[in-house]
Amino acid sequence: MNRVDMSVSIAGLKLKNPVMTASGTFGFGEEYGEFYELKRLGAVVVKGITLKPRQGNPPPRTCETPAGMLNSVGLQNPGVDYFLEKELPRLLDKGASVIVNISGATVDEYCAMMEKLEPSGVAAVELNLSCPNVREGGIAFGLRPDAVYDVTRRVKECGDRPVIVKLSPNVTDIVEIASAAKEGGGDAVSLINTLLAMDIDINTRKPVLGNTYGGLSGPAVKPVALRMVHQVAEALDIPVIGMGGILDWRDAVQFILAGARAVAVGTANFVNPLAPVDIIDGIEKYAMQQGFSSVEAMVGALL
Amino acid sequence: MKGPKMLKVIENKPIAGYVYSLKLHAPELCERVLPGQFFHIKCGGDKFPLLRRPISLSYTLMEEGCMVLVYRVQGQGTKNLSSRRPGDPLDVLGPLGNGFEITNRHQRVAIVGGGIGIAPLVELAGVYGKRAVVFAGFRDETFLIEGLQQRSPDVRIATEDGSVGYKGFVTDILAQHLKEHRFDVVFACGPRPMLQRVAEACRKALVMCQVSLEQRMACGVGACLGCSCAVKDTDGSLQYVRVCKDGPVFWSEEVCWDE
Ligand SMILES: Cc1cc2nc3c(=O)[nH]c(=O)nc-3n(C[C@H](O)[C@H](O)[C@H](O)COP(=O)(O)O)c2cc1C
Ligand code: FES
Repeated sequence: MNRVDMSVSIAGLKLKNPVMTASGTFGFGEEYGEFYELKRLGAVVVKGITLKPRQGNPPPRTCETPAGMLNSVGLQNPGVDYFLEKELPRLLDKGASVIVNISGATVDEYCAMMEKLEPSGVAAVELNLSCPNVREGGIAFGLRPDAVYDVTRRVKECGDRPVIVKLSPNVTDIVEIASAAKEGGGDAVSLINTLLAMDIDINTRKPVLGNTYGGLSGPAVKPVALRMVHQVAEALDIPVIGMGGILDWRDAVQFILAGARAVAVGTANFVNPLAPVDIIDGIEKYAMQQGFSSVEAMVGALL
Repeated sequence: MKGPKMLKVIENKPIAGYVYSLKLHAPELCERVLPGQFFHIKCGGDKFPLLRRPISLSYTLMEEGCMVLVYRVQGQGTKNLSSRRPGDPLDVLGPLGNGFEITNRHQRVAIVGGGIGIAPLVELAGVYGKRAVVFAGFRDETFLIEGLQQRSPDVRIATEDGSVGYKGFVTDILAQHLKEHRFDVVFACGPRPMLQRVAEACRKALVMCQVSLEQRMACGVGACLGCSCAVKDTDGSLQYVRVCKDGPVFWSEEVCWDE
């Protein structure tokens, strides 16, 4: 059998395969880099960073729910300057394509980070407009089309790096929001971030998470994510990075068939540290068996 | 490169109410694992329960090439784990985290465990042998006592209902002992309120103390920041560190007990 062309072009980037890591689930690559070579991934999307260091939310920050989990990490991170100085060089040394996920409380903060990242070796920037866990996590932008348009346009003016806009599923009309990102000049959209959720301990009569609310991720959200990716890919001409509950290659193939040009693996890393590379191999085998010559030919190939 | 391993279950049997002893064949891991480290175990189910469960090493059996983990059935994950039978494969990631800080300078040590927190201390008791006094506290039913005694002869027991040994908290007999005897270091594992009392007793007695903390975990390897606990930075400010990667063992004076 002929080999499958696994590469994909997205947001002006050429990725060697369509599999990325989902922001916040992969740290800065250091830990999972002990399990396999990071350059095998299409891209490493690093944990969300902010202009200034952030301590994050009080514990407990995670709990398991049926076929999923809640987290309220709250964007704990060492800030953009530390990232550029200490974390990025190490990642680039490993040969990884690095996408940086950024969050801000104001449009100016997003722009300030974009300007700092512009001269560095990052491949692209992902605007987190959808962290449900902190007020400064961009959620204030991600729920309103006009705000999504505005922040995307302003950030695009601050640099030439490709800009991916990460969308929240906690909205009435996902297409309207994605459309605003496209109008604002976004090069791609990524979806979905976590669904706002909570859990309660009936013995203590307290919320399980220290922060009361958290974000739901994992297999439980997959059907919702798949539907949203399909809606956006059908309605708009903008590359989509699909994520939400991808545990194995079958899930990843579903997202690609629904119209995603690339996929991101999040919670699955916690279950199987080798999940992203297993998924790359699985997609290739599937494409071969189904007679696709390339992954790009599979994108949106839903009948 | 390191990755999860499929280990064979040799034995998985109850040793007290809700407490199970799981013996795994793992000659290579036995050589490497340190007292206080843990394993992150896929307890069964494909998507539910989804996440791995962190379970500490209890002790190794070098001659057999086996290691034993002792756990309490608490939720769906450990319930599933308790149904594994000899011969079954088990998906195990680890050893993870930092173990206890052990040095030859410690001539006399106290090892203090409460409830299931006794399990991670058995291998440690073997390291210190006659140099250790072990304090083991239980609510009612005792377990792992023989294993402790074989490794370290001086084992003091407390039960809350008085059925075995001292009636009351293990921290009471420890505090009393600390007044009369000099220790180079104290090692403790157990429920947080107990650890806090141990830390307080050590502070009063001017003895250094290492505590092994528990926290809900997702990744177990340091990537998700889901297992944070608050510690005091060198300048006194509060900072969140990862129990899985920076711990699970911390110096008791670093820990912000009220957080
Ligand atoms: C522990 C954790 C931390 C996360 N942190 C971030 C973050 O910093 N920025 C972001 O855009 N998304 C963050 N996310 C959302 C994920 O990137 C992803 O969108 C979501 O988890 C759905 O994918 P999954 O089901 O494969 O995990 C986080 C998710 C988890 C579970
Ligand atoms: S459990 Fe993920 S960082 Fe500790």
